[in-house]
Amino acid sequence: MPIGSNQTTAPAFAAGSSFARQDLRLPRQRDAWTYCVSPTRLFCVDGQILPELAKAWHTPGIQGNPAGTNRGQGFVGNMIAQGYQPVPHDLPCKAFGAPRAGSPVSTYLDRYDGVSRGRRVVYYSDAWHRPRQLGHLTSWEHDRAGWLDFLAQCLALVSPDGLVDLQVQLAVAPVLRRVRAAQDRDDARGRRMLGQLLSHLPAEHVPDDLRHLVESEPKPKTARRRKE
Amino acid sequence: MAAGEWYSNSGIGDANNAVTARGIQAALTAANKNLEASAHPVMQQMLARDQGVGNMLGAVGFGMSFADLGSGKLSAESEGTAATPTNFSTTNVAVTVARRAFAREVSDYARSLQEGLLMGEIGPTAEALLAYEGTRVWINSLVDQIAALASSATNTIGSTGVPLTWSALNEGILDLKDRGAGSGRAMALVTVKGAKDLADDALSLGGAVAMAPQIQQLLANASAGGFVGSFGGVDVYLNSELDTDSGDDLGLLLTDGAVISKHQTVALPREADVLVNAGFYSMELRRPGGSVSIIETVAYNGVTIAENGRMAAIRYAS
Repeated sequence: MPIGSNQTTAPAFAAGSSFARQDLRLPRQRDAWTYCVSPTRLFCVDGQILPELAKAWHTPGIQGNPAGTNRGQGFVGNMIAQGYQPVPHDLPCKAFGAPRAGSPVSTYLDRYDGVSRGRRVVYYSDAWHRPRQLGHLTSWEHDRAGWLDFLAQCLALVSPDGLVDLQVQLAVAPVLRRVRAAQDRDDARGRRMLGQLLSHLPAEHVPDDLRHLVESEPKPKTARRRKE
Repeated sequence: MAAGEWYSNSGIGDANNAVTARGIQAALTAANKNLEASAHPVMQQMLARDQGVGNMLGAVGFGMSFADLGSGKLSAESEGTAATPTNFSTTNVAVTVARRAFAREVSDYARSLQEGLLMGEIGPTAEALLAYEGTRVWINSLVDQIAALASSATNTIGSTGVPLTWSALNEGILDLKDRGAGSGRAMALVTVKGAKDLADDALSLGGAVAMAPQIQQLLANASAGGFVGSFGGVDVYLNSELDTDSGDDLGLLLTDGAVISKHQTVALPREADVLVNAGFYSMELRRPGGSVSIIETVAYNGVTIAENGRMAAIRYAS
């Protein structure tokens, strides 16, 4: 039906009007948090030993947080008592190649407003994930390299002089146990698991009997033959 | 479904559609799984303990001291030598309580037009619908609060960037037992990815594991809701409230006493129009004007990790 005298706007399903704007689809409501880093909570990822950060949520009523607006004081206080150190929200860092200095919420958090299951929600994400709307779906891009750099920065807060043997052992030992468990299996899944685990271990900690799996020689180049 | 308050032209009824009247029933939601998780004895024990200590008085929190008792040993002392008293040591945790609320708005006109269409567990009145929803909303919030604690758990089962395996879960359970927490009930919350990892792994292992009764129950329990199976004494449930971290999903293993909650039972005053007063939460009807009712569900609660040794995060590639 053409827009006539008794219809002043285009129908909602017509493209090109303000009705066509889509709200960002978010997974759910998620509150902000403060990252906390411990010198003894470490893991192996992509061949590096990095800290496994803990999220001290700002949600009131969780882990000692007081009621009302707060920045997770209670939760952060609990984490400090367990040997953690809060990561400052103004820590200079980069995400997706751009410096995060001056970001409105935090250098490592972003706030998104959108909808989830028909309701308006606020969703906080770390700065190394960003949403891209695809029709009615949302995909999340991840800057893995930037995230790992950030983890290294966090580690420097608690271990500025590098890692001591105990820290290396705490990070490597659980992965080596999983490596041995995967090695004991004689099936494709076990081999796949072994490959994944070895990809996370720092090269110098790969067991000697498995070194050949991570140091495979480059395949000989075959000359491309032109078809006659 | 039209979004908005429940008016004659919006919300759940959509009476503007003159084609036909439609029955109204509760939609399927992934949050259904929270009902099963919340019914597990570990959660029920937490709530029973919560109520057992009574209402808070004069403070907005509740504290618990864990005294180090029973870990010492007798020391060799010569006759005639008095033993030196050993100091008590405690670890203290506090639950701080905060107000949480959820509200719906229903117009009198929409109710008159559509209340008779309510079916199933949300029928036959708008009050039944909202009482049903209030309970669900409170449970969802509680499970979500507990799931949020996974990233601050001291102990971790599994590894970053790799799928969850049968072996990793077994090791985690053995570590739990080694910490002294392996007596009593245990439950785990995992995402569907984690449950698929476990199933794939068990089947690929073949032999005794694939043929074990616990794996057989996993394969044949489509009617068991979010309950995946009981592995190594841990009742595993699917859950959608779990957080993600660094490309991993963060599940959670809990035993009795791992987490404590505190709810303040707030008695509504005499002038309030009370729909539900369930202790853990209450629901109140309000009339702000404009021929509508606002129904507000309110809980005053908080959760905290009581003893980290009694729980573990379950980490696996998303």
